[in-house]
Amino acid sequence: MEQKTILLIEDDQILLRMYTKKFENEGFNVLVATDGEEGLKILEEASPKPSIILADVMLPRMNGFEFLQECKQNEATKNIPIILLTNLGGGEQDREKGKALGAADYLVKSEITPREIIGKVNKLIGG
Amino acid sequence: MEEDKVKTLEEIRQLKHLLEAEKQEFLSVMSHELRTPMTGVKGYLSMILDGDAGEVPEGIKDYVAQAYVANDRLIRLVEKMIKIAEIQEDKFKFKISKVNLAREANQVVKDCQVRANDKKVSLRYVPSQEYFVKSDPDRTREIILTLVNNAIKFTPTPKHLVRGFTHEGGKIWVSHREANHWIITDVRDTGIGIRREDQERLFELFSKGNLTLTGQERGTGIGLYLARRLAEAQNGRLWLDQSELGKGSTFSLALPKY
Repeated sequence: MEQKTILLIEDDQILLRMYTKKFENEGFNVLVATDGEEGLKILEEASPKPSIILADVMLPRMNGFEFLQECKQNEATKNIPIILLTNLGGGEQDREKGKALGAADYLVKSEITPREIIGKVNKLIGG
Repeated sequence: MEEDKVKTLEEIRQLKHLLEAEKQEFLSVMSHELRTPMTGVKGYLSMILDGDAGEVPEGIKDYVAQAYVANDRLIRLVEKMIKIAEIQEDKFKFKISKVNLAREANQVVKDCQVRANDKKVSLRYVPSQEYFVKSDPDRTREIILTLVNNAIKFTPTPKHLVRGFTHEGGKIWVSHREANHWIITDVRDTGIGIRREDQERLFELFSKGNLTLTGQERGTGIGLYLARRLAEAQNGRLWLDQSELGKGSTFSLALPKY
């Protein structure tokens, strides 16, 4: 079976390591970036493209919303499901904004365990 | 001289604006900065429990599970504190719409059924007609949830529950009634009740009126304070309708009729 690839974009090192470890344990090939711009660069170079992207909302240089917009405007990446992760208290408005921009899901990090994130990811990519 | 005074006033006004903005910024940064490490703790503990780091001996598993629960409590506490700060700053966004109150209340009762069953307390939604109110559906559910959770918390498990023996266990009812321009939701329980001297302080932040009575059921003293602030912010009212020590309490939420 082909290995699934995920792109993780998270600027907090502890959380980045944590999610990376979890996805690796679940058999994923994990690409990482710590801001939106780096995420776009890695995405551009990646071959094959990742099957799914997990992006934090609050990121330096280019935030999660901007990254999402860029991906959706690009023919090569527009069909890759993107889950936005946040720890901001923005609530419903940010959730709606994310969905309107085409996010596959919008998750609050402090409310969800890595295992639950894996569940959501597998559901989206049919794993 | 006079001109100097005017300048000073203007400066004070600017300073006040600056302070206000700083406070907002502080709130937003703090909420993010607190949530992030707590997310790390939650995530890693859950991964240990899931076996990501290898098999965990039962005894250690229990300790980790306790740490996980404690951290989750911390997360909820921070969430509540952030919400209180946002309401105090008028920053909290309410989405007022036409809300089917009966449906929301019924949903809360369904969601709480497992906890009530665990405690051997009967929790019932008294069926009623459809009532429509002007409120924020999420916040309305949150208030009713606080009341029902409190009712479960402070309604003790019957001491001797023997099969075939009908014991008069604790009961909780959620019902609605109409009064002028209001639809009132009552949450009534046959719990421990609240001492008269504790009743006045019940809705104050960090008040723990019931602590002296139960000991094991520690509250944070935030729930009712927050629930009342949420009710008032959407033009509603929340109060203790009646309570008698050892007999139970009724809390009432009034929301404007649609």
